[in-house]
Amino acid sequence: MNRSARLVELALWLIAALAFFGARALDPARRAVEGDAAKWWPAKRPERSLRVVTWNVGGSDGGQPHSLRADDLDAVARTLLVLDPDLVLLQEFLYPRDFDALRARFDVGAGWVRAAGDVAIVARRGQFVGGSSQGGLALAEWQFEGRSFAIAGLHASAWSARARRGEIGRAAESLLAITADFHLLGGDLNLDIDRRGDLLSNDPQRDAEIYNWLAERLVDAGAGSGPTAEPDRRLDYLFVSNALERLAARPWKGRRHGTMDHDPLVVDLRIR
Amino acid sequence: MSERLELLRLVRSRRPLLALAALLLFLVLMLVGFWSYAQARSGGAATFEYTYENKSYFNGLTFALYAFFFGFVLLLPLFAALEGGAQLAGDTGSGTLTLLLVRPVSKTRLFFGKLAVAFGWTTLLTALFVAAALLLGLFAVGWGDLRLYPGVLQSAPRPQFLPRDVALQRFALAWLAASLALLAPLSLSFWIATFTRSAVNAVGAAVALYLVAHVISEVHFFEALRPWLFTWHATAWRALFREEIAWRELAHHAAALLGQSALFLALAFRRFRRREEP
Repeated sequence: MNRSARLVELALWLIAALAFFGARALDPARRAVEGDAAKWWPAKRPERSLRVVTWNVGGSDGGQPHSLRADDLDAVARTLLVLDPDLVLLQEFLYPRDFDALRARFDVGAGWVRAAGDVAIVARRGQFVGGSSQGGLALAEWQFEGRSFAIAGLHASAWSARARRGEIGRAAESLLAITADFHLLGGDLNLDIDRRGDLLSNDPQRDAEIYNWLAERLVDAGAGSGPTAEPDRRLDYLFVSNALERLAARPWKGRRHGTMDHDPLVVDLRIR
Repeated sequence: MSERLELLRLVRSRRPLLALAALLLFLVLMLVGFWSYAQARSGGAATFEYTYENKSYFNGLTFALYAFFFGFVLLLPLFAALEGGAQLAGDTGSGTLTLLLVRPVSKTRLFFGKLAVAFGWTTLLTALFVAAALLLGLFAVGWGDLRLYPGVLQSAPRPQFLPRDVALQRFALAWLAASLALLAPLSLSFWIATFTRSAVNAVGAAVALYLVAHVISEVHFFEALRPWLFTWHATAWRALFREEIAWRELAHHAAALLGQSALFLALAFRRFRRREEP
């Protein structure tokens, strides 16, 4: 009797061990990290793709938020040079000081559209054919490889979910009112849909609602790509028309300088 | 024989009635909460079926899914923990276990008989809970297609749409997956129950440990600990309500749950078979 009980116990230990090994082998997070690390390198971009970067280049020093600092400009320009994006959406980026300084280090090619406040849309290739600003929202019309793009760059309110919802909703409505082949809305939206937001938002339900409203109209190209900002929140987004295929999307870690607190979100797209 | 006796004792204990009454009360409160939600959020301007995203979004299936999710996280594990405490610690404390062992029945048979009855009851309770939530949703609101959005249940990274019949099949799969998930808190409670003769102490300790593990797995600051907590894997059945089911991901969580359940059972059985009964 004692022997059979021992065998039963041994069987339980074996089941536990096998199940743990199985769980480890099947772990999708582990496989994704290992697989992506091998494949993804920002200097390599797929042929005939459109690369868009959105980056809040400001930071926080001793709890005090700040816009792009002169000390960080070289690092930002170096990162953009390596990434070689066609389009860059910048937040915490002040005019004209930061723009002139960046232009000295990075070929902005087609130019830029800026909004009141700290938002700018910079294009290295293609051509801007229109641009306007509505408060903190930058709206641009851009021609690239014979196709028309409407682009919205936004830095949404950090502290109020109610204000955020209004800003994001108005930005999307203004963007989608523009006739274009493709629409892109990006920037620091200051909401984190990947986390239970009770600790980090004054109204997570409102954040979920506006995210879902937007996600019914445009595709969240950075979904599942991980956190982009301190402490580990996904605050930076690029929403795109469904007709644009997402080839890769990833925040590039390790590119912050000084007290910067966001990673650049890099998205490679292809026209379907 | 031993299993039939355990089953009879379970029915006579009235614990099933208590569990069913609590779950029914929970469902009714959830329904009231859903009825009042739209009114409170919109100052009376919106109807029961209104949400920001889609005016036809809310229906009986949405209600059933929300009710089942919160009931699964907050109530069903408590009833699973109750079984461990009552079946092992309760019987030890009352001397019933000693009387049972006087008969020609092995400790192994007794242990796994109790476990089978407890797991069977937990599985049945889960089925009854899903069925009651679906029926209440059907009669109070009406079924429809199931639309899910990212954010609230953290169940999908993008909006999902499931036709009604597909959604009902997914509820059936969710019942099976949730039943497997409840084996972990049940096994934990069996293990804890081998340390004490008091059912109250055993249930209290198991519930406290479950709540600690649940809170830690939900707060994202402790992300690194999640793979080691069964509470994190337990709610993976939500992925069954996506348009495309990620079977590999589900298999990962199922294996982790099975591993932790087997670990708790191995520890429980080891202690149970070695200890001297009074």
